[in-house]
Amino acid sequence: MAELHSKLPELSSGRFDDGPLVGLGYQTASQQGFTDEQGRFFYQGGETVSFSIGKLPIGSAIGGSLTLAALRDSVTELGNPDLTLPETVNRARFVQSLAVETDPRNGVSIDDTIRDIVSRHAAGISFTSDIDIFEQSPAVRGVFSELGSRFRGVQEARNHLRRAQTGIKVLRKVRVPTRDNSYLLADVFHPVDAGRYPVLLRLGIYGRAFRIGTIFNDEDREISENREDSWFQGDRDNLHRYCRWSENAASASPSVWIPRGYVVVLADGRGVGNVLGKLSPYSKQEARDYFDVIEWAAK
Amino acid sequence: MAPISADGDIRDLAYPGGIFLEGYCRWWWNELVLPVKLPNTEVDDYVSGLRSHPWDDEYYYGNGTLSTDFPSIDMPVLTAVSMTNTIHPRSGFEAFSSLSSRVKRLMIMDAVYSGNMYKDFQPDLEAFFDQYLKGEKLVEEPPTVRMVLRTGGGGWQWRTASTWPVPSTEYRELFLDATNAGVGHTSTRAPSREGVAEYSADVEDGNKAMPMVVFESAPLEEDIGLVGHFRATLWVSSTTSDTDVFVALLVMDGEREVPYRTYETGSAAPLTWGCLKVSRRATDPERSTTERPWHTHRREDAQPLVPGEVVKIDVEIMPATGRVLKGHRLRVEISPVEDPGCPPGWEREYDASYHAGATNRILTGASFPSSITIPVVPHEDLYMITACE
Repeated sequence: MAELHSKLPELSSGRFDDGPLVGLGYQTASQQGFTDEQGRFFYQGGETVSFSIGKLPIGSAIGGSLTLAALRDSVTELGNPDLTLPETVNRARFVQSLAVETDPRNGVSIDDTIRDIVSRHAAGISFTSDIDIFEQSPAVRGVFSELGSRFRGVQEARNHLRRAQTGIKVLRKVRVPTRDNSYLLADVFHPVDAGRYPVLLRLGIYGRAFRIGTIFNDEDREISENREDSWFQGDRDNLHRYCRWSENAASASPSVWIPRGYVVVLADGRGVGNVLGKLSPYSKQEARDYFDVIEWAAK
Repeated sequence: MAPISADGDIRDLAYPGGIFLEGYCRWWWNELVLPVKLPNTEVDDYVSGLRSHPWDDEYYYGNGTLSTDFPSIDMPVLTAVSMTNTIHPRSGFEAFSSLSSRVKRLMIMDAVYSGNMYKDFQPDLEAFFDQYLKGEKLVEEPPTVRMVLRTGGGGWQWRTASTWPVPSTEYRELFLDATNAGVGHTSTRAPSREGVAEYSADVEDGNKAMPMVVFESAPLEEDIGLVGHFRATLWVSSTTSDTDVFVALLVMDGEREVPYRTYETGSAAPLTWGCLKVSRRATDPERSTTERPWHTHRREDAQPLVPGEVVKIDVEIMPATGRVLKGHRLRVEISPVEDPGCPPGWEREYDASYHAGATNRILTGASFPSSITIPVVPHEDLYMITACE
């Protein structure tokens, strides 16, 4: 016992798999600061970590690799991640909506501007409110109208959380260069942990929206996000038998393959979605593009 | 590479048996492709392109819908086919036979295949990619061929085989025997008497039952396993210059058809089927095998019918698996269009110019030994993994 006590407790680091969340305030019994450039926070094993943006408490969890779904308002009621809790949904929508990208591939960076705006409205923000009340509260609306940001949807936020929980990071609309100086667009799903992984790739006409189709505008994205969320909640029986089994038509499902250490790439061919060019499935052009996207993915 | 429910050339998706699969192609293009298209972008008209290229010509090897050159592929391949489906029922078998790959695997799925594709054959895909993309050594080498062996009435079993076609396959020829009284018979020996079965090729009148001729076997004396390629050799004539011949093989339990789908109920397909536009009957002897004829589908090989003249045709029937029980009977239906099994909206082209008012004949007997050939595989030659009935 004496020997144990004489050791200095080692610091552990944690992060948010749905982030990185950079510049997030954190505090434990022994540590405090802001999450660093990689979104890391530090704690001693077993400590509860409480997070904040300026004057707004974001929630607490036992230190570790987290997602926003692990946080709770009350440090005495910590529990397992639960994507259906209003608290989880409100918190994820709020924090994700501070991100710049739609993906949001680079997570969230909290700067003084964000901190100030959030602090001014902090008193009116309660993550434990009902989802409807939360999204309509003047404080929440105030934050995002002052920031000029879109307040993200319930399903969209939950889908992002769910992917992170499964260890999946997605990069949407990645430009894939082709030999004729044009490009295709791909969604790239990869493990949250950096590394080199084999790629399961499909190129074609089924689009990158969930199930099938393409996303031209916010409404299309909402439809796609709603499909994804309800599919993962098990609502599949009424789907066409060719759509019931997979996340995207004729493609490997990211939720199946990424946890096994693969990358999934869904690429749109020419003339599909927002890819310029002549729509021409099974053509020589498509074959060349297939070659190019395979070469690109291998690098 | 893992092409699942894929197509290789004109025989697979555009013109199976030489008959334009117009309904499916149009549905796919209009319902799945056009909605995702970038507005105002240029479009290759897929359906018109196929319609204007009914022959296996340069369109399928150059600037049109490309064919696959299987022998030029030498990387590891796992492919899967949806047996007897309207779409993707055959190319995987062709691929397995002609790929140069040292490692190739064949998964045989039910007709309505998505559940098989994403759930049941997931372990095969995982093993395949783990081996050849991650370089993992597996404790046990996965099966080269794994199949859904349909057992009728919704049942099936998982079976494996060392290769395809299954090495011990016995091709059993069942000769058709037309009678004057409706349903004809099948028997293992060519009937000595001559017979003719006649049916209308005209199905424009939707109120009438499907015109067809039917041949049934005696009740089976023992269970048989049918695993592999089927074919029909028919002696036919017509009152006009061409005709489409659909052959369906069904299993009957008394008067009731035994359904051979498994857990997806969306298919009404028979045990298996095949079709041929008779003017496309020319085969390539080099590429034809015991198990399946290879029709050239070249314009220069076209052989229109002379009204009343009898010709011999080989109809490629989709490879399938099925266990048929003792006491059940095999039933062969020959009709001028597909029936049943075609999902509504996926119908094949109906060319009224040679259907309207026409009459077809199937000849049987010593001079015209029409038959259907079935692949019989001894029960013990397939390895059972798990029973799923």
